[in-house]
Parts: sequence; C-alpha cells; structure tokens
Amino acid sequence: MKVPELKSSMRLIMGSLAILLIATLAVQQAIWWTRMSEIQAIYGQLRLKLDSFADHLQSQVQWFEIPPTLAAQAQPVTELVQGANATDLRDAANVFLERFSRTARASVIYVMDTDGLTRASSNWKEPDSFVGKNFSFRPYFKTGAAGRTGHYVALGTASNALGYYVAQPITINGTFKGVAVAKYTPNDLLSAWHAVGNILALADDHGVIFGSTDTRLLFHTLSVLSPPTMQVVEQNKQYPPDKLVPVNITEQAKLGGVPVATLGLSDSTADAGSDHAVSALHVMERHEIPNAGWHLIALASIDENGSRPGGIIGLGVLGASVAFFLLAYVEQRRRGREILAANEAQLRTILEGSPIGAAVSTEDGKLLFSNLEFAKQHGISNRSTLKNADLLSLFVDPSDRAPLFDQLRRDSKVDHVEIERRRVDGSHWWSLLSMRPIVFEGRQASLSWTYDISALKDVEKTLKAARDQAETASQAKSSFLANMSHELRTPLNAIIGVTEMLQEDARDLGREEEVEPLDRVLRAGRHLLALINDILDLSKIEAGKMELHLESFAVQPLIADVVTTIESLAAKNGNRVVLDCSSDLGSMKADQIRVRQALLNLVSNANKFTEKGKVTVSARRQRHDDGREWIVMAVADTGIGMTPEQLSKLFQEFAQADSSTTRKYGGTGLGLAISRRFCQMMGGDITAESELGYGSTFTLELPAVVGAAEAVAPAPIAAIHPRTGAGPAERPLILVIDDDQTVRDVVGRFLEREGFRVAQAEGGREGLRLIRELHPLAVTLDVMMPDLDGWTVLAAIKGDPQLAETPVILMTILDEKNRGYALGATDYLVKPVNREKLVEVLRNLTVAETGCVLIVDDDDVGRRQLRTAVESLGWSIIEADDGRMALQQLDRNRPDVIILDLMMPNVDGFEFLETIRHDPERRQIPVVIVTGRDLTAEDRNRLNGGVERIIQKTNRDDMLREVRSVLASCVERSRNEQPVGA
Amino acid sequence: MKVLYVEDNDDNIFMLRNRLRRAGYEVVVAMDGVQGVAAAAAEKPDVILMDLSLPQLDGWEATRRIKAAPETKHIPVIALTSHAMMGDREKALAAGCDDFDTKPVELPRLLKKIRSLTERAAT
Repeated sequence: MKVPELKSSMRLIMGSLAILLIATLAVQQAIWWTRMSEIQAIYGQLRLKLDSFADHLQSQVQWFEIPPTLAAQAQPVTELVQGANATDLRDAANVFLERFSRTARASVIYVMDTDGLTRASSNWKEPDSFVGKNFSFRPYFKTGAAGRTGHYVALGTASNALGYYVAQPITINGTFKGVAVAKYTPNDLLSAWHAVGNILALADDHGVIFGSTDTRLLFHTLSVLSPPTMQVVEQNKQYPPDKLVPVNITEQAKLGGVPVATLGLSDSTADAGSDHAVSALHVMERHEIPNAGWHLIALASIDENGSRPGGIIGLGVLGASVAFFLLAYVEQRRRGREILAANEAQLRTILEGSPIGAAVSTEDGKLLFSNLEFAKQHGISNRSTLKNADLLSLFVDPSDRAPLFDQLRRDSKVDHVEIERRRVDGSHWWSLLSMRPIVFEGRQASLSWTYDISALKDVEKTLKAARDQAETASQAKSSFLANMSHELRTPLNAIIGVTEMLQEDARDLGREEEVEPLDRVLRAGRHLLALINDILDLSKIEAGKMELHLESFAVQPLIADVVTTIESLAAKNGNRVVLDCSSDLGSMKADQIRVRQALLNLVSNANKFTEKGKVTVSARRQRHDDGREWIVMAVADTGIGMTPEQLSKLFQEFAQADSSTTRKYGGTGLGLAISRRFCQMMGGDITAESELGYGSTFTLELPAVVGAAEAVAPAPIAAIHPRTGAGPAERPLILVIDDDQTVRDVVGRFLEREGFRVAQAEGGREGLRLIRELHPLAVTLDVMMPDLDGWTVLAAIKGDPQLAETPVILMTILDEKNRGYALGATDYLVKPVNREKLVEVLRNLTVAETGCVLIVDDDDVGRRQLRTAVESLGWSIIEADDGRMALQQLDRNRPDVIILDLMMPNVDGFEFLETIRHDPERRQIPVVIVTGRDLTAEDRNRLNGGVERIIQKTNRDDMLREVRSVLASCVERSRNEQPVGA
Repeated sequence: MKVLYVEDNDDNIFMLRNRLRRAGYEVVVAMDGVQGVAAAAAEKPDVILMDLSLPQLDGWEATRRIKAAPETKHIPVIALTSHAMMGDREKALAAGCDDFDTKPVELPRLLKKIRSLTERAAT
C-alpha cells in the first residue's frame, strides 16, 4: 500500500486549495483595481463634463441677466415706472417688451412697479397676459426690491409649467422704481448636457431639483427642506407640493478616492424594470452656479454592469480553479483507488501463487477465506464449494481440530503441527500447520497456513526404512562376525584339540617320532588361530563391535608381568630386559587385557628384532595439556631398526616391514595394527621412532582413566560353601555343558588329568537337570547350543536359588564378556580355551588341600572372622596380634600365606614387611594386605612389589571372597613352582 | 622319479617331502629361487614344484630362468601358490609354468598333475 501517495494527494488537495484561494484573491484584486480605474476614469470624465457644463451654464445664466437688465434701463420701461399709470406709456412698454422678448429669446419679459403690479409685459396680447397681475409674492420681486438680481425657478401661475425668472431692479436716480423680469424655459438650460448615461440635476438655492436629465428626479430635493422653507415654497406655489421629497442620494465611502453615492428614488411609481438603476452606485460631482445660487449634481453610474467582464473573468477563474481542484481531487482519489487496487492485486497474486495453503476459519467450522493452494491441497477444483465445506471433514481425525483452537487461545499461536488431512476424494495427505488469531470481516477467526509435507513424510519413511535396513545390516554384520568366528574357530578347535590329544598319546605310548610332526601341526594350527583371532579382532574393531572391558588395576605389576613373560624368549635371543618404572604409577582404569596385549606385543617385537641387545621397558605417569593424567610406556630396543619407508608402513595390516620379515621373525603381521587400534579405542595411541641399525622405540600412551562406556565388573568369584558330601578330600566335580562332543571329550579328559571329576551334558536342559542332581563345584557352559542356548541356561541357574551359587564359566567362541558378567557368570573364556586359564579359574573355586595361613591383625573380631572363613576351606591358622608377635611366629613356623593388617601397635604392617623383605627365605612367602585404611599413593609405594594383593576391608562378603581367591591362587602358584608329576 | 621342490617354508617342506616320498618319488629341496635354478641344472629332476613366493628370487623369475636355460627348459614346472588373486594363473603361465596348483595342497590332485606332466615329457 502506497501510503505516501495518499499523503501526497492530500498535499495536492491542500495545494490546489491554496492556489485556488490565491488565484481568487489575485483575480479579485485585479478586478478591484480594474474597477477602481474604471471608476476613476468615469469620474474623471464626469467631472470634466460637469466643469465644462457648469462654465457654460454660468455664462448662460449671466447672459440671461442681460435682457432684464436692458429692459430695466430701457426708456419705455423707466418712463413707465416713473409716471403715473398712463395708458400710452403702458402700450409703448408692451410693444417694446414684446419686440424685445423676441430678441432676448425669453418667453415673457415684463415689468413690475414698486408694488409688484405688472405694468407692462411682452405677452400683452395673449389671454394669459401678465399685465395687471401682481407678482409681489414672488421672491425675485423681493430681491429686486432689495436691489439685487434674482434668479427664480417656479411653476407659472397660469401655465403650471416651470419657468425660469431672472429679475433686475429698476433704479432711477438710485431709487427703486420697479423690477424688470425675463422668464425663460428652464429645460433649455440642460440642452448642452450631452453625456449619455449620466444623470444631471439642477437644483435651486433651496435644493429643489428643477431640471434633470432623469425626469424622475424633478422636484425632489437635495435634502430635507426645513419647515419654514417648505412653507415658503408652498406659499409661493413654486413647485408641485407632493413631490418635494428628498432624493435618496446617499454618499458612500470614496472608492478609489472618488466620491460615490447611491441614488435611491423614493418614487412611488412601481416601475418593474427600473429598480436596478435607482439604487445603483454612482460617482458624483457637484458644482455651483453662484449667480443663481444653483447646485449642479452629476452622477455617473458605476454599477457592476461596467465591470461585468472582470467579474466574469473572476468567476471564470474561480470556476476553473474549483473545477481543477475537483478534478485533481477526483484524480487523486482515483489514483489512490488504483494504487490500492494494484496493491491488492499484488497481494492477491502473492497469496494465490503461494505454495502454502492459507485459510481463515472460525472455531465453529466456517471457512471465511481460502487461497488457491488451500483448495488444491484438499483436491477442490471449484473454490465456491469450499465455502460450504465442513472443515472437520478435512481432518482425518476430526478431534484434532478443537485442541488446535485451544492452543491458539492459550499461546496466541500454533506452530508447525503435523496433521493428517483428507481430500474431498478421500485420499490422505500430511500437512504442516501453523495458526495465528485474526479478526476477519469483523469476526474472531484463525488464520491457518498449511504446507504439504506428504513428500517429506515419504522421505521420512524412506529414511526410516533405510535406517532400519542399515541397522539390520549392522546386526547382520555382527551375526556374520559371530558366525564367522564360530565357523572358523570350530574346526580349529578340533584340529588343535585333537592334535594335542594325539601328541599326549604319542608321548604316553612312547612314540617319540610322532611328537615332532604333531608339534608342527600344533604350531601351524596355533598360528592360524592367532591369525584368525587377530583378523576377527580387527574386523570387530572396524565394525565398531569391539567392546572394552574397563577395570582398575595396578600399572607396575602389569608391566612387570609382561616383562616376566618375555624373559625366557629374551634369553633365547641373548637380550637383556630392563624395567624402568617410576614410583608414582599407581593404578589406571582401562581394559587390562588389551593393555597387557598391546604392551606384550611391543615387547615381544622389540625382542624379536633384537639380538644380543637390550630391551628397555619404561613407564611414567604424566599430566598432559588436556589436564588429564596419562600413563606413558615406552619400549626401546637396540635391534635392527627400520628405514623411514618401513616406519611409514608400520601400522598397516600385514605390512610387517615386508613379507620376508614375517617369515623370518614370525608373528601375524597384525599385532601392531590391533594394539594400536585398542589404544586408540581407549583414547590413547602407539607411536614409533627408529633408526636403521641402531634400534627402535615404541611409545604407548593411555589416559590414566579411560572414559569408555561403563563396563560391567566381573561377577565376584562365587562364594565357596561346603557341599554336602563333597569334602575337601574328594576330587571336585565339574559339569561340562556343550553340544559339541569333541569339546566335551577334550575338556573332560584334560580336566580329569588335572585332578577333577567330570560330568557331561549335551544341552541346556540336561545340564540344568544334572546341576540339580550332582551339585558340581562348577559348570563350564557353552553358549551356542541348539536346544537351550547358554544365556538362557545361565539365567536359569542364577534364577534358581538352589543353584544360583554354582559358579558358571562360560566357554564360547563369542566374545561377549560384559553380557556374560552381567548375567552372573563367574568367568568367561573364549574358545579355543586356554587350558591353563581354565584350570586356574577352576582351581580358584576349589578348596586348597593343605595350607597354613598366618593372620596378623590387632583387631580381635576381624581376626576371628578371617580365621573362620579360611578354616572352612581347610587351612590351618596361626595368629598374631601385632607385627612383633608375627615375626616371632615366623621363627617357629613357615606359613604358606601371610594375611597382614597394616594398622597395628608396636610393629605395624609396613615395618613388618620391611623386616621380612630383608630375609630371602621369608620374602618368598606371599603376603596379602587386608586393611581398613584408605591407602595413599605413598602407602602403595611402600607396599609395591612386596605384596600379593591389597584387599580393602569394606564389604565383609566381598573381602572374604577375595581372600579365598587369593589363597587359592597362592597355593596354585606354589604348586606350579614345585616340580610335580605330569 | 625325481622331484625338485623349491620352497622356503619349513613345514611345507617337511610335509610334502614326506608325502611325496611315501608316494614313491625322490625329493630334492631348494629353499630359495637362486638355489632352485642351480638345483634344476644340477639335479635334472623330472618335474619341478615351484613355490611362487620365495626369498632372493621369486618363483616367476626362477621359472623364467629355468625355462630359458637350454639344459633345463624341457623340465616341466608346476607353480604352487596360495595367492588367490586374479591373474596369478596367467602370470604363472606367462612365466613359462606348465601347470598351476594352489595351496593348501590336495595331494591326489597334485600327484595327478605331476603324473600327467611327467608322462607327457616321457613320450
């Protein structure tokens, strides 16, 4: 909407008005000036005329004095007035006067004596002869008698016509003797006035108009006659008495400096057409005829007739201006409407062309407005049908509509709501709806915008389907990996297992020459297994399916353990292994197995590629820039080193420098890649430096606390309680549950060799039955079984209170430790099972046959608890309540294990340790710290390297379990260290 | 019948030598490409089993040399490889191998190939 246009049209109107006013004023002014000039011109002309006429009249009047003057001096007249009333004098005078009047052009000349009696007259022959008439009443007789010339206009006594009398006194020898009078016709006086359109009035000394170009003015007076004057006039019968009213000449304000008057005649004659001239405006000029005492008044009309053209022009301009203004206004309005229409059209175009449907509707379902898109969206081609549409029918779920209006009321808006709508043909589509309140045509309504998101919904569906597919694919990948695992490991299981079996048979039967070939098979098989494991590990990592199993563990013991493991191999290459750990390593939280694996990989590589050299394993605890603490381990060797090219290919799978290296030095070529991946998964990394011929250094960095997903801690080793009938002396029973015959045979035979009794179950159901019947010490459980899978069996075992305490060791090709532990498995071994590990686990569960424990604790109650717990396993107990006493006991006995408290009087735990460390014999005895004290780093340092394990006195059950487990392992170790028969 | 077996892997040597001996062949072993070429000239075997991935000189090159030398070029060569790649077969044949067998070895199949080549050479 062009609002400024509106303002400008207002301006235009105002401007027009202003211009109009100015123009009008200007024109008026022009007219005025024109008029003024006109008036002035008229006046000027009038004046000139009047002046000249007045002069003329003056002369005339003066001339008219001559005849009576001559007559007054003429002998006949003088003789007449001197003598007595002689007839012959009279006749002589009459004749004289008669002849003289003709010359004088007077209508009558006559002579009066001192009495006023007319003694002789020029009209002596006529019937109305003046002779003998007495006109002493006439004023001119009086003025004559007074010795002055008299001018007198009056009605004639007989004729009733106006006469003009000029009288001269007759004086003889200074004595008044009579008056000589000449009578003229007053109309002649005006004959010289030639101005057409102008009015001339000749008034006598009383102001009575006796001569006028306009007869209507006759006998009117210039002003009101005073009563005495009136009396005189009436007495003298000078004028017709009924006419002696003032003429209505009213002086007005001067126009243009010109005397102006209105002329109004109070004439009773109602002349229809004469009104306009009578009261019109005139310029006026006066003059005097001094001789006669007469007044001359000239009037020239200056009414509008003269300035009519100007008026017309003015009117014309005014009219034109008005017309212009009106036109401009109308034009403005029209333009305004045009602009409005154009704006409206534009808005309409926008609205109608919008890809978003717009509609205005009331809550009760009336549709007040809709745009094209709205109609199209709902499949309506004829928009008029929408007016009557039931809006509820456009919703697939009509109950959707009311809450929308509620929301609109509450929040004053509805934004982006997905609503499913129905077209008139019944098909559905999805809309994105927004609403705002609006007042439309005076009603409260809702303005709604609907956007068709059917396409988007389809895309959404497609994406969801694709995502589901991807998830399915991912799951398929997982199960593929699991299956591959199974498929690959199962035959290897047989190969390795059976070959081991054959090898033992060969040995047993003394067939030595078969041992070596079988060894080759075993080595090849194991190598293959290692490869498969590595490949599967890598695949799992690549697929993101590798789980980390985080736990807290002491760093230094782990490193020491790895070094120990490599020592014999190191000796074979003539290498020296040096350990350089800082004392503040403490513990870290990570996947212990993977850390060990990675470190072992690095150390064994270092050893592999070094001959008669040195391998240094160092470890530090550092704070890095990220503010966290890191464990940095370095493995440095003095081996063959690498070229830069070899270094660059180092962590690539199978690119072990080059393939010949693999053959010469063994290994899968995958170890480094896998180790590095695990480190990266834990947030760290492995890096390498090398110099050809001098050696290499591999650095392994890990955060001290790895923040991976929470891992599930392994279920604590199941508590041992005495089994009915199964005393320590009897060989413990292990139930092997596996659907694979081979597995059952191999495991069973091996376990029997190790001193266990073995029962077998083919499947889950049989297994559960046998557990209930036989109450085995522990159960080995396969997961992938046809009838009941291992998870179900495990859940069943743990769910049955009678069986729940049975330790279950999962043995499966799947690697789902977390799940296993979460479900309560005691331990989890991946097939092919490392037999040593299995034995270790089982041994931990068995009762030690002999053993002596020295329990050192000043707390009586605690000591008694431990004693009870350990005795139930069949151990014998020696007690001491402080360090000194403990040392004394050591003099007398040699226990297998020492359980040591730290906080004791006299000689405390630390001191005790110090003391026994100095004794080479005593320091072999494994020491288990069981303490309630929160150990500081310094404490740990003091204990480091000298103790088997540190157990916190927190939860009694946990603590006791741990103690049992430690005891078992101690016994196990001591048994291994002593040569025992195969 | 004398077989020259050119192979660097100890286990493979152990296995195949024993098995071939059991099958009645005399077996001579060379553990790299260079030794292989030399042994071919020195021992004049009836057939050569050539492992392709060898140190010093790879199997292809050794075969080429054997086939190039006038005194050994008539000896049939069977390439043994675990390479499952495309083009290995063609590559082997292009080097002059008379036949091609993959590892793991399937003894009957291998013996059949040896027999057919030696019989052909004999005629």
